Amino acid sequence: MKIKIWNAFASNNSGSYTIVGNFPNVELAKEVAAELTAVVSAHDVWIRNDKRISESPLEILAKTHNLRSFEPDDNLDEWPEYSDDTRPKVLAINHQVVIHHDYTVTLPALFGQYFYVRGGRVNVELNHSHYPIVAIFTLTVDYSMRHKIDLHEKFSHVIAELTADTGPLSVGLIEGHEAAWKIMGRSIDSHLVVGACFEVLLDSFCEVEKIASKHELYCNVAVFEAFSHDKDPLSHLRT
Amino acid sequence: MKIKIWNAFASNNSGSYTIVGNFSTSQLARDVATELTKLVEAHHKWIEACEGTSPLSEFAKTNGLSSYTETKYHDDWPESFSTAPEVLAIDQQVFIHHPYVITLPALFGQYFYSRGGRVEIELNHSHNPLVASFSIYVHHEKKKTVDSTSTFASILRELIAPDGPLSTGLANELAPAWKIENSGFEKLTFGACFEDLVKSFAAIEKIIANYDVRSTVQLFEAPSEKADPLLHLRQSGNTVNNSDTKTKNSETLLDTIGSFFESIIKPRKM
Repeated sequence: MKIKIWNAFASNNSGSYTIVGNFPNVELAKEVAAELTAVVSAHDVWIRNDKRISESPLEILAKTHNLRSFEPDDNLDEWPEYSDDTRPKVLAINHQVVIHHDYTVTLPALFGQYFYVRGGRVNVELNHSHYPIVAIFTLTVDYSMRHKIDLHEKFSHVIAELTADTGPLSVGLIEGHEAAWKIMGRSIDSHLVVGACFEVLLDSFCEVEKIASKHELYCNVAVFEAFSHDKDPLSHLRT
Repeated sequence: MKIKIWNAFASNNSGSYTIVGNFSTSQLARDVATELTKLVEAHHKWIEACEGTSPLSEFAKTNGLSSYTETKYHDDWPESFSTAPEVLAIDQQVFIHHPYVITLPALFGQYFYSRGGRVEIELNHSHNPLVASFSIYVHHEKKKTVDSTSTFASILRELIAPDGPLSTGLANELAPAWKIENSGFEKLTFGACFEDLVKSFAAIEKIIANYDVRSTVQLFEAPSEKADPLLHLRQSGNTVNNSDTKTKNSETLLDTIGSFFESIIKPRKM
C-alpha cells in the first residue's frame, strides 16, 4: 500500500485551458475526440479515487502511444480540481478537435503530443487564460458548389439561424460581449466569419457547428484570448 | 547525376509559416533551437539534390517521431532558391519561421513535445501580417534587487532609439505600441508588425539579454490588412498609423524622466 501526503497551498490562481488541434480529415478528428473523451472521463474517475492503486488512464495512453511518460503525482496542477465538473470537455468540429476546461491551472501536455502522433497538428494552446476566449468561425461552401448557388443568400439564412432568439449568437454569450459577423471575400471566394465570446465554450461551439452542418458549410474555428475584459476583441468584424 | 523535371502551375499561393514552442527552461529552449537550426540547414541543402535519405526523415527516425516522407509536390518546404526556415530561441520560447511557404512539416511541433515543451501556436500559411506582442517582467525572485521601473524605461529607450527594433524594420507602416502596467503584475508590453520577423526578434532579444528580466512573446495573425491589431495597447483606442504619436511618446518618456515616472504611476498607452 502506498501512502501519499499532499502538501499544497490554496492559490485560487485558475484560468481556462483550451487546445485546438487539426487533422487531415473529419473522420480522424471524430475518432481522436471519441478516444480522448473516454480517456478524460476515466482519468477523472481515477484522480478522484483516493486509492489510485492502478496506473492512471493517462499513463496508459502515454505508454500505448510512446508519448513522454506521464506521472500524475508530479503534475498535480495539471487537472481541474475546484469545479462541479472536473472533466475537461472534448469536441470534434469538422477536421478539428477542441479540448477545454474553464477552471484549471493547466492540462497535461500529453494531449497536444497525442494530436501529432495521430497525424494532426496543434493549432493553438491557450494555457491558463484569464480573459475571455474569443472564437472566430470561418464558414465556407464546398468548392464544387460555390458557383451553383447564391452564396450571400445562403449566408443570410445561416446568420438568421445563428442570431435567432435561441440561436448561439443570442444566448450563452459572455455579458458585455456582443457577437459579430461579416461576409468576407468576393464572388465565389465569399465566406462567412462569425465571432463571439461564449459562456460555455464547447456547448456553443456545438450549436454553431450544428447550424453550419445543416447548411452543408465547412467550419473552421480559431481561438485566442481577449487582451482585456473591456476592449472589444471583435472590432474588426464590426466595421 | 539525377535530372528532375518539375511539372507545376504558378499559384502564388504562399503565406508565412510560424510555430512557437515553449519550454520549462531557457537552456532547454536554446538547446532545442540549436539542434533544429542544424537540422533545418542540413535539410535545406539536401532539397537541392534530393538524393538519399533526407535529414528530416533521419531526424524523425532517430527521435522516435512519426515517420517523415517528403510530400509529392514538396509543398512543405521552401524552394531551394529561397532561404531556409529560421530558428530562434528567446527566453523559454523557440520560434521557427519562414516568410513564404505553403507549410512546414508537422515534425517540428511533435519534436517540441518530445523534448518536454508545448506548442503555443502554429500560424500555418498566414496571409495577413504577423503581430508580435512582447511582455517583459522582472522575475519575482529578483524583485528586491531589480528596479522594474528604471529597467523598463531603459529597455524602452533602446527599443525606440532611431536604429532600434521598434523604429526600423516595421511592416505596413504600422506604428508599434507599448504599455507599462504597474498595478499588480508589473510588466512592459510592446507590440509591432515586423518586415523580417526573426531579424527584429533577434534585435529585441539582444537588448533584453542585457537586463535581468524575463520575456514572453505572443504571436498572432492580424485579422485583416486594414484593422489596427495593436489597438489594445494604444491609449486612444484609435488606429495610429503615423510617426507623430510615436515621437511624442518617446520624447515624453526619454527626455523628461519626471513625466516618465508619472506615466508609470498612471500607465500610458500609445
